[in-house]
Amino acid sequence: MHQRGRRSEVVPGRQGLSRRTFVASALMAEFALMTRIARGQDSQPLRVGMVRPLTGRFASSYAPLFVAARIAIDEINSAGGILGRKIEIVDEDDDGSPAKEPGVMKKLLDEGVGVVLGPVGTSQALSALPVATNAKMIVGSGSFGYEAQDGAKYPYHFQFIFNNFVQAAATVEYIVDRRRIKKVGIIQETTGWGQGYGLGIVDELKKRGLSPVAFETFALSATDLKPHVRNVQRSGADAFVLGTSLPPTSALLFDAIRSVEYFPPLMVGASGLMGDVLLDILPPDVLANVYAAYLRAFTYTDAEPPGARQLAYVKKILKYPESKGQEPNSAVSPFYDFLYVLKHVVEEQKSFDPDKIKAGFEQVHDFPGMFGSLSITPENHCAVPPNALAFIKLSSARDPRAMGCFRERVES
Amino acid sequence: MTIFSTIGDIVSSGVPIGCLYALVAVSFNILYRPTKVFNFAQGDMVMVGAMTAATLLGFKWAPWPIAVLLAMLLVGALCLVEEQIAVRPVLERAGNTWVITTLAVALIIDNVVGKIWGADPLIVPAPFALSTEPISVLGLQISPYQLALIVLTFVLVGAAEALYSTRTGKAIKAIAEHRDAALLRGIDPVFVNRCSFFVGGCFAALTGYLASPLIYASTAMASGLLLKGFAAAAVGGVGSSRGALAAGLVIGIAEATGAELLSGGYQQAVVLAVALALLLARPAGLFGQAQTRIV
Repeated sequence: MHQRGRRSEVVPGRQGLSRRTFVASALMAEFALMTRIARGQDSQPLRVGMVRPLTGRFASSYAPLFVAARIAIDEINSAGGILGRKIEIVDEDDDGSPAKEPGVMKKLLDEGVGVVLGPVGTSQALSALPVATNAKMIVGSGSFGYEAQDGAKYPYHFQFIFNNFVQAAATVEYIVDRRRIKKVGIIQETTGWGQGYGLGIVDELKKRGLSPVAFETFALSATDLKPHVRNVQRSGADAFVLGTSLPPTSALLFDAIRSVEYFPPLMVGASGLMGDVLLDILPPDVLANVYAAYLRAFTYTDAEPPGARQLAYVKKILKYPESKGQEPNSAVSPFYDFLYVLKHVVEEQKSFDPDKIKAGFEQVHDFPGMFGSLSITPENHCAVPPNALAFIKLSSARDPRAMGCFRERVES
Repeated sequence: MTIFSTIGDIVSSGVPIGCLYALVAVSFNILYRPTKVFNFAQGDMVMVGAMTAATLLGFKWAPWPIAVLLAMLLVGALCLVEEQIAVRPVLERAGNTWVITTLAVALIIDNVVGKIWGADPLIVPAPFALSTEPISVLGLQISPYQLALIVLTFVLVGAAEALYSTRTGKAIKAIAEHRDAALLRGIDPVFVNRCSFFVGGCFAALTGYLASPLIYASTAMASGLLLKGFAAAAVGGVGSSRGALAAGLVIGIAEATGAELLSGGYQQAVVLAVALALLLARPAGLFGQAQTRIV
């Protein structure tokens, strides 16, 4: 009985669930579960926040920067998304106002958004980052300020843009090391960007045992920059660094240069000098001596045309009406490379966990980005190094080869 | 560099810009006199006038006088709408809530212009093909357009002052003095308010157009002109056009002096320090009159 009983215990067991059946069932269940997860992931897109001014004075001027993000998202989604998840955009209007940024980030957090593109602007980004950092949101902002590259302070933020320190380092290298000019005058606007740029120029000059012969500062509300330009003129500066980031102030600065007739051998500035209207303010022979820092990947010379990859990208940019008149801003937007590095990191880590993504970003080394070779370290979260920049002739904007986005590079 | 050349540079920079501040202040005063309302959207009205004129001139289908006239009519109409929806209803209920409502209008305009125009400034050629290139006049480096602007500012301020000697101007003064008493004398304050807003809007648009050849038309021009125009109106004595002119010139020259001699971002502080010192010395402003009230 006991044996029979044992047999009777075993038999149902053997009839109901043999080891083979158990393993097969487990495998099938696992397969079904994986399929369900995969289907679940497919149906659950990766929600990416886009923080930008949809209303207000900055709405039309910031819109071109997000064209590159839309191109990258279309490309990534067409190729199957990130780990099978399609990217879905969640738009948030920040009105371009730093005061609104903490609230906007909290709202995105409540909506389950873990990855954010934007905000644009240094003060806007710096207001948003404390909230985003606490919540471990992965952010690729449009900040040109060097403060945002600090990996210790903002561990989940990554800067895919040539910030003001990077521009300052490249500018001084060009003026002092390549052009052998030592009398440098600076004018800067009193924005976060301008002050960082001026500070960076002074630091880089100090590293070479130099100091500026003139250092002028003006408020954005200034209506006349002639007194400042005259002060630089009186200092005898041979190179004039133009620290303006906004087209209206750049126009005032060019007008002051023209009015006081201060035409030094070299005038160098940042990407804020690339507005089309500026080309009509200075006489052509003076404009020929004005250069701006720009991404080398988007430059050409007579001997070296733009790269095929950049050409294809620019053709896509030009299809978007928002980029009309603002083509360079669309092209050098930080969001294209950020999204591709995000995809690379997530697929390598096989995880959407923010800490794993952060660790993955910090291991990025020589990533072949649209902007060139990109690297990030735990300390420095700015992916674009100074050697990714080159100096371009402003006057080349109207060269047909420029296609709106490319510029002619100066070699010496 | 001699002291004379420095003074010359300060005058040639400060006086034309000071004239622009004076014109903004006069446009403030035109609205303020009958209504006792400071229109915080006035800087935006100047900007809309400048951008509209620049856009119309860019189309090249109308000569500049027509383009400027259309811009003035548009901004005049905009000011009239503001008066209807944001000023009159709150004035009828008394109180100072017009501070909020006019500020709200400024924010709405700021939002809308961002959709219409981008960040790029627009180049506006000076009228009568006047050059903006500096020439030497009595040792001063000043352009023909800047000289014309200075002369025109004096003319416009004179015209604004002369307006108050007319029957309409006297009606405005009567309303400013005592609204109810003016009403009893057959003066319609509502109509006068509307007219003031319309004329103030037209004047703001003209100021924007006149500023454009010097500082370019851009959506960013509103804030700077609002602040310094407001300062000129306050320092000159609220309601006084002559005071606005004097204060505008003082502010323009103080700003140029700060930029010429101080740099390092102190020029704004110089302007505000001068304004503060003048208001402490003369609380009613340079041309303002202390008012007495029997209680």
